Formats: sequence, structure tokens, C-alpha cells
Amino acid sequence: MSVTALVCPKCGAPVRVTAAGRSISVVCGNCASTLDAATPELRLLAEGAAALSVPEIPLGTRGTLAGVEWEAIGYLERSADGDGWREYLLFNPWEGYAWLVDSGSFAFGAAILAEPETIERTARIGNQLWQGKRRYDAQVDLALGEFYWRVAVGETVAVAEYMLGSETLSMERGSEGVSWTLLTPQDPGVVETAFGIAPRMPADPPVPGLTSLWPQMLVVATIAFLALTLVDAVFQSSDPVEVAQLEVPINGTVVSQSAGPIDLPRGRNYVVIRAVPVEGQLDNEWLDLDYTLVNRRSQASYPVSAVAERYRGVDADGPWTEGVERPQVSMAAVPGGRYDLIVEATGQRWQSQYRPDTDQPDRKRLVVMLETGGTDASFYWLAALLLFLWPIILLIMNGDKPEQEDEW
Amino acid sequence: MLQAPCPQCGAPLTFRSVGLPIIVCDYCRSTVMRTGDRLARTGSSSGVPETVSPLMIGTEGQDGDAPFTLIGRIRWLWGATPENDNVAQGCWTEWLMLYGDSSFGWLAEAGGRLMLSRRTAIHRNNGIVQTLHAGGAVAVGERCKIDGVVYRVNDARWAVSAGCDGEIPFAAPPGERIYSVDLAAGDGRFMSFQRHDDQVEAYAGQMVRLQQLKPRGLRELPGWQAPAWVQAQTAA
Repeated sequence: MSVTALVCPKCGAPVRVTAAGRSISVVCGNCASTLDAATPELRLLAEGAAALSVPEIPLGTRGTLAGVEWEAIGYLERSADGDGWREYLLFNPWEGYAWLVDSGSFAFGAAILAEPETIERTARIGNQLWQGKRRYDAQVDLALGEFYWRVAVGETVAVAEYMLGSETLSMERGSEGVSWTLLTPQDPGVVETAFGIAPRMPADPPVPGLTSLWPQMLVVATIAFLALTLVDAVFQSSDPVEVAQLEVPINGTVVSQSAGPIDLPRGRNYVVIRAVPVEGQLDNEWLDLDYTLVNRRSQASYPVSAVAERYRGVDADGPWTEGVERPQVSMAAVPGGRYDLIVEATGQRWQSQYRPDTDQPDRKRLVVMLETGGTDASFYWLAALLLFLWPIILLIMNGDKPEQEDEW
Repeated sequence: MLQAPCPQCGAPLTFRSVGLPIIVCDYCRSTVMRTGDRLARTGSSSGVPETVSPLMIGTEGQDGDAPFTLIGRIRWLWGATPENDNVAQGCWTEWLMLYGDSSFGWLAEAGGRLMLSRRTAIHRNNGIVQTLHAGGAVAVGERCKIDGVVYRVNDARWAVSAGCDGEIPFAAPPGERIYSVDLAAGDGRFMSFQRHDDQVEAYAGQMVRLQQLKPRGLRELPGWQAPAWVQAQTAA
């Protein structure tokens, strides 16, 4: 292998130099010290300060892109205005150097042979005209591996980007030189496969411009919502029918009643059961209600339970009440057929020394109502929410987007 | 091709060129000056350290229709100043090309790019040339028009020699300093000005890809698979 085996003078860890004689600095992968690769003894230039980070593509990994075998020899974490990305320096002895830029998705950066002519906000190569996109200062936050220049954390270069189609021309101007790179986006999976890393989820941000489509999306969602409302009206539920009346003693004894027949006409039925206490409110009392639908033919049973409750009191914040006095429960997809509804109820009173009065009747009369068909209102509203979610997300993202980047 | 023993160690020296005054002995690293038929040791030179490059002395190629052979090289380090403890900021290698008509050219290998250039006439009225003659520094980004082509300065730096090999046109002992200015045009054309002592020289050429030079006799690099075009070139 043409890998020079060297040792970090700071920490003694082996330091890999792939492009010997071409690399100028090496950052030790163990202690992050910067070493002078221009001298055979790897003189220590700067002790490592930055916390080490592990590149997703381990340095020394080779991958073939467009027929060229590249080795990842250097790794940079860079940022501009708080937005960070990662760059791998690739090396091939016959091709020289290239870049792999990882900003969520990958782009391949190649050196170009010409020096584009820049006029105003354009860059020209031959008869290709590239439009200026943005300018920013990029700094190096972390460096690992070997580089053909003296890499330094904190180093800042001025970047100007020009667009043509999906490609970007990037000009970087440092203290003593200008370099141009042609960045070509890589199809999802190409780089991951080539360098043996886990495939990226195609969770790319929406294509620029998609977020501005939110009004159209809103129209589509509204039409779908109206259709949903229409369908819901067609499959409207039956009117609630009183199926049982019970007197529930507030002493813990169970009362039960069977009601029927109840005919469920459809193949699958949506059943809502509501309990309504009559003749006076519950007052620091609760009723445990167990409902069971029993199919007369198959004896299959469908249980569900509810609690009717109401509590009140006075505390430092003043009087309060809580509890659901008329609980409603539902069962989805009960098979069609003839049923009996069995209601079992027990009543309890909350034993509290603060109970204000005791002249409440010891029994609560309760009516049980039942309705079938229709759709669950919560499904209806959930569906409506889902319909409008996407245009709302786009609207928010559209609002978040800074004004047209005009930092030229 | 002339062969003669090294005046220092007696090892055979092979001169591929007719007129170059300097050769570095492969064995004892002596810098040997040739004056007519006489060879004299003028100093010693550190060799260029092991470099992972497919180019080597003896590699042949084509510059358009003109065949050439690489006969020497100088490695330059830039950015090493007393202020920064003489730490180099970058490096490049200049390969000396000997053409079939005995003329010379340079193939610069810098940051993975190749720039081929040949000595050209100095334009005395060129602003950059005048700046260089006056001993001044040139700014990156500066434009100038030479023979109707607009160039822009993309590199301007002091460089020191870090070793040489083979035949070269001037003695470049380690530490020898030059001021080098590179200019590039939109069509890939390339120019370089170099100030060495009081001398300013101009070179003109273009950026090239290794493949277009149709190189033969490239160095094999253990652990690397030569690209298909190299294998095809070797087989041809």
C-alpha cells in the first residue's frame, strides 16, 4: 500500500498519509493536532482543541464515482451563519482531488480547468452563463485527515455560488488564491452505495418553489373537505333512540337491565351509546356503566364501559365543578344482526367531609340512548385536519423562508 | 543522450538534454554543474520526498503533436515565512519537459491540477511584469490583457525550493526563493510569471488533464488500480 505509516508527535497514534508528497497538513484522528505533512517528521503545528467527531465515511474509504476510484482522505465540518455542512476531500493519483459535499444530500465537487470570467452577478465559461445565487463567508469548524493546503480551524473564505440548471459553480477566495469547483448533485443512494454507508432517507426539504404552492394546495384540501362532508351527510346516522331506563342506587349495588331487540342493519355498524341522568344533576356522585351488546344468534358480545360523574367543591380559587355527566361511548364495526343491550350500573357518592348537603335522593334515574350508523365525528375532524395539514405546513415553510437571498 | 560519472560519487549521470547546466545525482544528491564537457559539484540537493503521483522522470507524453519527456523536477513550498515559523501553507511540483526539438516546458502539478507552460517573451509594458521588476507584490484577482486574452491572477506567492531531481535549468538548492504569479483565462489558458533574484520570466500555456497528454511510462502506484485509459495506453 502506498500509505505512509507515520506517528503523531503529540499523542503517538498512527497517522495515515495517503497522498504523500502532495498533502501539506494532516490532522491526527486521535488528538486532532494539526501536523506539518510537508516535512518528513510531521512537525506539530497546532495542538488539537476541537472535540473530535467521527466522519460518517471513515477516512481511507474508497468509492467509485463515475468510473473513478476516490479515497476519502480529508474531512471538514464547515458553516456559514450557523448553517453547517460536511465536506470530504477525495484523492485519486491520476485525477487529483475532488470534493464530496454532504449537506443532507451529496454533491460531487470537481476542479474545473478554466477560470470563469465573472461579470456583475454572472460567471461565464465559454458560452455558458451562470447566474449568481449567493455569497457568504464559510468557516472551518473541524478538520480531520490530510489536505493539500495548511488547514486551520476557524479559517474563513469568501464563497460565491453561481447556478446553471442543477449544477453550482462555487468560487472560494482565501488569503492567497481563488479556487473554482463545479458541484453536481448526486442521485440518492449513489454516494452511499459507493462508499458503503447507510442510505439517506429521501427526506430532502421540498424543492424550492413547492412551498409557494400552498394556495393551490388549500383549494384542493377545501374541495376534498366538502366532498368528505357530503359523504358524511349521505351516511348520516339514525336518530338516537331511547333503549333503556334504569334507577341506580347510590350505594354500590349493581342494577342491570336488558334492552332489545336492537337491529343493526349494515354489515358493519357504528354504534353510539349515551347515558343521560334525569331528574337532577349528579352531585359529587358517579355512575359506573357497563354496556354489552350481545348478538341474539351468535351470542357474540361487544362490551364497552363509561362513567357518568360530576364533582364540585370550593377551594382557594373559588367554586369548581368537573366531570362528564352525560358520557357518550362508541363502538366501531359491530357486525350486523339482532342484538340485546345489557346495561349494568353502580352508583357511588364521593364521601367528603366538605359535602355541603345530604338531601339528594339516593337513587339516580338514567336514560340510555343508542344510535347507529354515521361516522365518528372525531374521524371526520381528523380527516379534515389531515386534508389541511399539508397546505398549512407549506404555508408555514413559505413564511419561514427568508426574503429572496439577495446578499450579493 | 550523454553519460558521465558523477564527480562526487562516480555514479553514472545521464543527460537527456543538450543544454541544461544542472543535474542532481540520484545517488549522492550532489548538484552537478555542466560547463561544456566539464562536470563540477556545486552543492548538494535534497531529493523530492516520496510523492504519490503517477508522473516520474522518464514519463513521456504528447503536448498536442509535440512529444516530450519529463527529465527533472523541483518541488516548491509556499507560505513558509519567518513569521509563521517557516510552516508551508501549500506545495506544488514543477516537472521539466524536454521536447523533441530540444526546447523545454514545465508541467506544474498543484492541488491535483496540471498546468503546462512554455517560456514566452516578456511584455515589458505589462503592469504585472513592471510590478515584479520593481520587486512588488501582485494582488490576487487583478486582471490583465496579454496578447488579446484577459487573464486574472489566481495565485501570487513566495515559494521556496524543497528539493529537486534530475536535470534542471538552474540550481535550486533547498531554501531558494522565488515569487510566483499564476494567471488564468476563461478558456483554460494559463500564464505564470516567476521572479528569481532580479530575473523575471514569463511562461504561457494551459490547464490540462493528465489523460489528454497521452502519457506513457507512468509510475505504478501500489495499492491503486490504474484507470482504464492508463492501462489502455500502456498496452498500446
